[in-house]
Amino acid sequence: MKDLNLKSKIGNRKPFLVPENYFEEFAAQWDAEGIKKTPTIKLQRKKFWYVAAAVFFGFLVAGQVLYSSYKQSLENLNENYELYLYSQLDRGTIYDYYEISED
Amino acid sequence: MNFTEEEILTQLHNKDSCGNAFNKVVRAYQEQLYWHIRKMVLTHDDANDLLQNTFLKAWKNLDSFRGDSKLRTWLYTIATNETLTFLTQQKKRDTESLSAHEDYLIQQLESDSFFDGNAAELELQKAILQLPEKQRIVFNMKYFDNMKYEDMELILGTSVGALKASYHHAVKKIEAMILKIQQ
Repeated sequence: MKDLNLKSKIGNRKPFLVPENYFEEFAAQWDAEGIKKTPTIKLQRKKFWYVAAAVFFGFLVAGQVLYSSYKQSLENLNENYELYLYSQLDRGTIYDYYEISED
Repeated sequence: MNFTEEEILTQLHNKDSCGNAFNKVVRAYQEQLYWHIRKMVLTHDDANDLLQNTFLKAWKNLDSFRGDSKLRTWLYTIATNETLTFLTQQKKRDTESLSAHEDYLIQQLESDSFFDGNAAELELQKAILQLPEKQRIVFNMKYFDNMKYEDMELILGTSVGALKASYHHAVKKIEAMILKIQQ
């Protein structure tokens, strides 16, 4: 054997320690229901709620933006229509209108 | 180990019994896998993390394990790959040169409260650290565990002849390094 010297001089003991009851506790972790399954399941559940929340807030923001731009365009339309009406009238027509209304 | 390979495989591929069967697998192989990893990464904390990752990976990939190799061989292969990936990342992250990385590992070993070696064993560990990682694995598996070359071939995917040569060179290098230190 080529390593006879090495083994006889130093030996082949593993010079490391582990914390007390380490292997018992390690195995018990895996015995605890769910610990081996949870990493994937938890991630999937978390992912679902993250996606659901993102979609909800996305709709909320998009709705808000769409509604405010719709409201703005309605206001603009009314304003333009009023301006258009006034532009079609001359002063005499307006006076006639008020006189008729008072009668 | 109180199960046969066939029995445990059937249980692992059954939806109702796979959880319990996997617990049996953890209990049966945790200790030998831990020591396989620990001899490479040296510190307990790293070995613990890598052992967890090894079993997690095995659990997630149970469907792909069809029993073409032995369960033990499959687990050892996962543990070896996890360990080598970890060491590569650690080398990139912590240090820039190879010798600095070895120095870092030696410092870690010397200050580790879970290192229980005498002066000669510390010298041996220092010499082992000078070997390339794959040669370190071969040396550790043969020297400390006296694993058969045929089993190592299946785990490491290297021929028996190449493994024998690698081990022989490793022993020679280590003996030379220890002699150099002692002079």
